[in-house]
Amino acid sequence: MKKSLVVIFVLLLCVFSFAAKELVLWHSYSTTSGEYKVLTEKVIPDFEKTHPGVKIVETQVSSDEMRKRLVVSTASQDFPDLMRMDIIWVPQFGNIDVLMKLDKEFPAEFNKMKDEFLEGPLSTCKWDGNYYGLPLDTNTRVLLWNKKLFNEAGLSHPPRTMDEFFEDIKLLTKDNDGDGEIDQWGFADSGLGPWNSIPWIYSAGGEILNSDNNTAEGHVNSKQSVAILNEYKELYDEGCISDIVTGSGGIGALEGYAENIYAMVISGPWGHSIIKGQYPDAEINYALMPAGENGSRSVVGGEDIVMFQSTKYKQEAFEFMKYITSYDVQLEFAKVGQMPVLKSIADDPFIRNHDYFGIYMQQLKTAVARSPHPAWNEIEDSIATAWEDTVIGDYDAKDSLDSAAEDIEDILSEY
Amino acid sequence: MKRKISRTTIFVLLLMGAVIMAFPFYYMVITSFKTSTFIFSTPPQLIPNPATFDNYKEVWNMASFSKYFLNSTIIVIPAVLLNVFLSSLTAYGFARFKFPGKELWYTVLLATLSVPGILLIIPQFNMISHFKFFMDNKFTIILTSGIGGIAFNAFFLRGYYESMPVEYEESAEIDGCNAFQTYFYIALPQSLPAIASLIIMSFLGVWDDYFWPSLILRSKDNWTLPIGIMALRDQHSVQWNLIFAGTMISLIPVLIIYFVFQKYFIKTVSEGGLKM
Repeated sequence: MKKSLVVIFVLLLCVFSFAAKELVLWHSYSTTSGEYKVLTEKVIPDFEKTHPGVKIVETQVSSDEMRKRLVVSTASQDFPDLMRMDIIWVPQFGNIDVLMKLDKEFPAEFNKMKDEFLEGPLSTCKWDGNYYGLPLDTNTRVLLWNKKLFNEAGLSHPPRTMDEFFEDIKLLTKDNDGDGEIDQWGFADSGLGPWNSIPWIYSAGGEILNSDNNTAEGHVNSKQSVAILNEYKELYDEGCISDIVTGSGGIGALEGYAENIYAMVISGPWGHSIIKGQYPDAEINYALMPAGENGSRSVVGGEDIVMFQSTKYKQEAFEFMKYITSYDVQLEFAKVGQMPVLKSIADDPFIRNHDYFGIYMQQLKTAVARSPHPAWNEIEDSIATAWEDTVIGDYDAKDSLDSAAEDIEDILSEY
Repeated sequence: MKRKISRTTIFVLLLMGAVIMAFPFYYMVITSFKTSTFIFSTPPQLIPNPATFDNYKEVWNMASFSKYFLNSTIIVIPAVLLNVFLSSLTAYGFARFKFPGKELWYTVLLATLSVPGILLIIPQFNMISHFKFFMDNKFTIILTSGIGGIAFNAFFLRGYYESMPVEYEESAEIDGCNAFQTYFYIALPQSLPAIASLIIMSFLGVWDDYFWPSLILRSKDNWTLPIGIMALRDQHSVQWNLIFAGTMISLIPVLIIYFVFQKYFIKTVSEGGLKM
């Protein structure tokens, strides 16, 4: 009897000690996307092959729901081991001390690999002097201009300066069927939040916070920040910017661009597959964001890969982070439309000969990261409210930005 | 003559209302048969041309909706049965038995209705996440959905039980039924019309539930239909043709349940609740 118990115990011990180390990875790739295919059919199996005993369990969480999921997770301290996290959340979760400080935990390795990443994306991992992740993918928004409509209006090239931009928007707004109502707009965008407005604000010489991310007064309501909001408002009031920016009905920005209804839109690299998926014959023309007082500036988007402090398998998790940001894997993801974050990959023939990565890479050089701050979500709301109040609600641009500055100062004072 | 005209006007108005109400649904149906090229075409296509089943095929096979459908079914049947059974038991108890503090307990039960469900999610999740067995397990959803909403359901059924003549149950007792038998063989069958509506409500609640199951059911093998539908949304784009095809698939059982039980509901009422 005693002997059989010992045998069972030893057997159990064996099972447990040989059981795979399971690492849970959260991400938001839709289950029908090319990226999901690469992740589940190539990246994870290849990693598991070269790291016997480690199992990566991927869990998809819809991007709209990810925030709520993280709130519940934080409340009950139930985190995955790894996550592909939106760059703007990294400082927030770093600040509440749930993410692993990579430069503290793996100093030698981290410092060695740090310089391989593009600076913009790498900066999104940093908060309060520490690095909380590795960049995984990046993107920005560039101008898409409709050549056919430009030619019809007698224009031969996309706007290069902000002044040309405003002028072209007006010239390209028309009433084609003569019923007294505008049916072709010079510009359209999906909203009025900072993701949409930063290219306008920063190109025109405006700002949101100072470079240390601790002051809003005099930046979010600087002379240039106010002037560009006034300009936007004027264009909107003249009917030159489609109503869809306010969230009211109308054909989507990219769809309208392909249908020759909107002459110019601003879009990230995903615009290509969205347009081509619905309009295989549509011609897409790219240009840099028109340059203003501060040059051609756009907004940085993307995701970082982060490790949670609660993980039981630090070393294995770090191995996976290194693997998913390695040259080959980055290239594999690039082939399905995700922009890489390694400096060295820009010279790869695939990237160099790519239809549209070139222009995005060029725009990225001067693109602005949304201020890496734990309270970015609140700051974002304040700016969006100010723009909406002025554009839709007819509030004076200076007044709404002054009040945004006040709100943001309040928010910043808590950190 | 005048009467005829006013009837026609009412008919036309109602018809217009019905068309307006049904149009978004119609649009969803046709979009699920369109290729992505024609979703946003102007003018909008009201009859898909070319019509295709590819969206359904893709969603059913590639996006594993066959699996999600099975999971949803595995969860919904026991959950609804458990829910209806426990609800009617609670309601029957409050309707027919006398015990100390009865109305107080009933008030406490109803008071729980004023707590929004979303508030309970964090503490509930906190408890469950401590037990590995309950995480990523369909059984957890069966259990939590089975006991969810009892307060409202008991409120809904109690009045029904109280309005039923007590004589049947008394004679059953005289014939030797114990309390449970009286409930199960006499009271429950008489309350079937109300139970039928309860089944519809409970089914909809469990079948459509997204957030709670998405917290518990982590691996794709355990996903239900609403989680599968949400997973079709990309960060930057939405493939409406696939989403609508997925939604149509998840809608079919709802329609079936609704029609089956509605018919039963009307039939039971017209035959009279006592003729069982």
